[in-house]
Amino acid sequence: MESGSFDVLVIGAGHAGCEAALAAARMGLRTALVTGAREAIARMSCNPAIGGLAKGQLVRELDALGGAMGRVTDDAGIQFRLLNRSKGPAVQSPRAQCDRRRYSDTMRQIVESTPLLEIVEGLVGRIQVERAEAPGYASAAAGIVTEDGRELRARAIVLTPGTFMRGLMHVGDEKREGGRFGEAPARRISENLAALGFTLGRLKTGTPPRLDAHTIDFSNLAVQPGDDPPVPFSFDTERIGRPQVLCHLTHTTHETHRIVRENAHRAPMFSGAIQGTGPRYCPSLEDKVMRFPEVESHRIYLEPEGAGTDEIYPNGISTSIPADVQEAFVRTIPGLANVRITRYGYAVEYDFAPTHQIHPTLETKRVEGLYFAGQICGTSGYEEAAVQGFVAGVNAALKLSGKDPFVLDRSEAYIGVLVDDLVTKEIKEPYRMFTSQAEYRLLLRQDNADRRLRRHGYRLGLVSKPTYDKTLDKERLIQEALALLRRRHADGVPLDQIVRRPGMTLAEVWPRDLPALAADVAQQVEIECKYAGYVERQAKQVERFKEAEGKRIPSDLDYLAIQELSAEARSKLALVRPASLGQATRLAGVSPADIGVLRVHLKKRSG
Amino acid sequence: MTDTIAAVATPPGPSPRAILRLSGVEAIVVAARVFTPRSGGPLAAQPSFRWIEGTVRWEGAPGPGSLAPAGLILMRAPKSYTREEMAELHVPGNPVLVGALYARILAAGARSAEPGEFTRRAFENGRLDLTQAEAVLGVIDAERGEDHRRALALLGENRRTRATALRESVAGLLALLEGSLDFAEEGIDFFQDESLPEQIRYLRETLSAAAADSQVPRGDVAAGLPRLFLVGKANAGKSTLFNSLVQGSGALPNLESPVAGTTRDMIEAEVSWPLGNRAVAFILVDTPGFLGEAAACVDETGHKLLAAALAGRPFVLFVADGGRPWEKEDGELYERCRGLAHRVVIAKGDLPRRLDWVGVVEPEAAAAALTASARTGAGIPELQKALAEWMVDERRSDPARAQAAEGAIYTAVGEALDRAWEEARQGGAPELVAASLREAVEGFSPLFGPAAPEEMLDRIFGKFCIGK
Repeated sequence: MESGSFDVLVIGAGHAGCEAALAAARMGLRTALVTGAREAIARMSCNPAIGGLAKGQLVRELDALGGAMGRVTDDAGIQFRLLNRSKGPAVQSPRAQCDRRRYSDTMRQIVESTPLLEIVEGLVGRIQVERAEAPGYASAAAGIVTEDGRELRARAIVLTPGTFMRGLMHVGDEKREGGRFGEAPARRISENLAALGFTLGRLKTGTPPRLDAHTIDFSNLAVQPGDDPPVPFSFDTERIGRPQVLCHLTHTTHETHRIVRENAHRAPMFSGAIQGTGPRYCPSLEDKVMRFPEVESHRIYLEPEGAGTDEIYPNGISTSIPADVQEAFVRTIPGLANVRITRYGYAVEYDFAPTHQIHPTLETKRVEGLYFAGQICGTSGYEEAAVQGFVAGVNAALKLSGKDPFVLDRSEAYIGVLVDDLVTKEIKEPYRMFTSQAEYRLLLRQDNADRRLRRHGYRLGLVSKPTYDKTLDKERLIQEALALLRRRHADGVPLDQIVRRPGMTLAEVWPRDLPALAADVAQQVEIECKYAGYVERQAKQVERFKEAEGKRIPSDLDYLAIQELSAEARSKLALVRPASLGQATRLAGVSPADIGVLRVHLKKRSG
Repeated sequence: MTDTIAAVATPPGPSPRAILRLSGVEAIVVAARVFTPRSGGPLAAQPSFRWIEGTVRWEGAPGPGSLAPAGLILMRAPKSYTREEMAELHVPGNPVLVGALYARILAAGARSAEPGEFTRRAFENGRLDLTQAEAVLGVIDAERGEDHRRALALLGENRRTRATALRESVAGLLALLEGSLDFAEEGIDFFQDESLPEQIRYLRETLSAAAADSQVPRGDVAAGLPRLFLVGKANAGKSTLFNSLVQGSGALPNLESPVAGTTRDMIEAEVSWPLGNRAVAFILVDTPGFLGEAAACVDETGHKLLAAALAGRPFVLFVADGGRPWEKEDGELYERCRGLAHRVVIAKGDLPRRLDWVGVVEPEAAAAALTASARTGAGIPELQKALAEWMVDERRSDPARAQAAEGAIYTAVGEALDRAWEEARQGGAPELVAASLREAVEGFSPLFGPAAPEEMLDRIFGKFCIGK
């Protein structure tokens, strides 16, 4: 039974799926967003917060490109903080606590009101393929069949299954199939992908128990307020109107650790029931206690799940230890002596597809027109998922329109770093973005995401002309101010060099006879002065990087026939088949000498 | 146009002259930052392919900067070996001077050349034709012998331990700094902010002490192929043999600058010969300057030059005339080569054998001696194969190169630590200090390979309990 024909099908309406569907539809393609339930759109499965170090940069970049996450966060945010304020601008990131309900509702409204975008309720049963016309693919996407037998046809499919592929939830030795609390898993997709020739692996993540706010004694807990005034995520948000709330800080005690330690053998992590690899940066409490016995106490942030709800998310005690142990240990935490758990913490294991199987457009190498985004690519986090959804949606639309793909590189955006890491590195744990992964960190700041990326958003048709013009005006004012600072001197020293001095601000130096700069312009001018020298050093490295990045490697290059490559490099290159020489340099086991050999062979081919 | 690369083109160790080579869009700009022409005026105004006398300023390990005499040749694109802008700096072959100058060149905007990169660029830019691809691959492969693991293994246990400990300290400090940036919300005290300048200064001093103690020739580990000197008396058939070896398959165009009067004391050719399914590359050096035709060969200057060249402990192919008995000059020259890594070839193999050297030549060299005739070509392929095998063996186990890698590390890491310390001391932003510390960690790559991107996160996760 055929029940619809579209250009693009997006399967899964989480943070990746929403951005993918919005981008494809806004680029003019008839798009269906397939989700188990309309209410589940943009659900925050883990903690109700967006942003944080490096993740905040991703959201700002997505916003500059025309994505939705930043705007929705501004609408649903109940506590905003700019992290690392005491450090330099390159390592500052926005973070916002959100009203979980409101976030979901706002995103749903945007999705529902977007022309060409249709929501289809249903669970995907299998992906249908046909013979590929383009060389290099084993087959081509043709559509899907839902579990209840409906057929949806499309030549591009973005698959964003989150933790639902063979999702298995653990609380102690209790196992339940499901991708998220109270929701059924996607059982068939894994088999379907395996049949299509994909290799799958297994990862794990976890959540803490949720608490009833009325049963918490906040009176003796440290308060963590948000910024006043709150700084919005989106470059287009003027100010945050929603009333702001407080978070509280508490910590684990000796007694907490004792209970966890004595019951650790009952946790699926230690009993051997869990096979998937969990993230090191987000360990369960049992993991923390057992691996770091010398640490006497761990921090816990008590984060409200919303302005109107009474649920609290205790950030820091993710666990899958049995329910009775959860009940016992939470009560040893200051402020939680009489707490009521509204939902137990659990771990979830799920399938993912190791990422040597995707192109930098997130299209799979085997099935033409099939794209992967989010946790299926081995990442964790809403922000990481959202930017992948965007990249996949945009590229699906571009490909169907016969246009060149959209790939950001490592020198342009954190998004570029993330995608490049996915296609060049072996995923050993759920991948999360950190600022230390961006080698051009000083250039890729959250404050200049608009200056870096708006033009791409405009070119793609996802940023309006007036918005883009605003960015161009801002850029012009920045350049004028910088030129002026270089020209003018005080005591024989150019003004820009005076601003460079530690502790000096632009405001102290800016000539009084000139009109004051707008705040956003002044901020950029000051940072450019402060980072001068370093930015030039990095720009030079970028130049070299771009050269290698621009050297494409033909997809049919026979690495196994290149004798001069080291054995290690040969097998790695044959597996990953990098798109460019630059990507090849980042593969483990490929040395500079191997790259030299590749260069000579490329030259030999091109003549 | 591509970025600018630099390499010390002569082998490590003392020698009469060292050559530093630059290629890339900023080659002349970078050269101008370290070299001052005697005639005054900007370097960029100087003509191509002329010997430019001048001075280089360098900072030796102890004491303030000083000047050294130097010569420079500019080769402008596209009329250069790589078809890019090139500069070739000739300085006295004092290892300390060469190391310090090389570090200055890197600080002035060039980067270390990768294995075979000059040759590869020449190839990519069309200077060498496609039929020479195999030879180019041979050069890259030969320099792969400089692989960091081998260099580290050859360093000797004490030095290896010291270098490893130094890298550990620098990387450890960077990990703490990165931890404080990426995990600010964890409530972990990675370190006391106030102590940062002091910690960097301590690292710098430890490094300086190690560098002073090691007294190794400093320079670029990836630079320069091994050099094989042809030594022999006049008319022994040396130059004819040289030509016949070089004209054989796999020889690349002469790398030496085509300026009369600057390099006439040595004629060099980079050769790349097949060995199994690989190729071996090295530089063959003829020495007509010392031992030209007739009387000039034995004059005092010639002998002095030869002595200085051999003091660099190069590889030597001693050429004996098969058509004449062992003569006094043979003996004198051979005495200079005794103790060096050397082989013997009997040239003019087509003439009736009159050479008799029993008891004169070291038994091992005598046993391995080959006979060749440049005139008939007999024995030339065998000689090439033997030399290629020898160069592979020698090159793979040359501790001098490992020591040069150690020296390069101390220079590059020291510079980066200086920048980090300066920033930290002035209270600069921590991410700027981190940027320089990252470069310091990268500076260890000649011995430890490039830092894996995951290294810092691995260190942080291994040591601290991260994660809310």
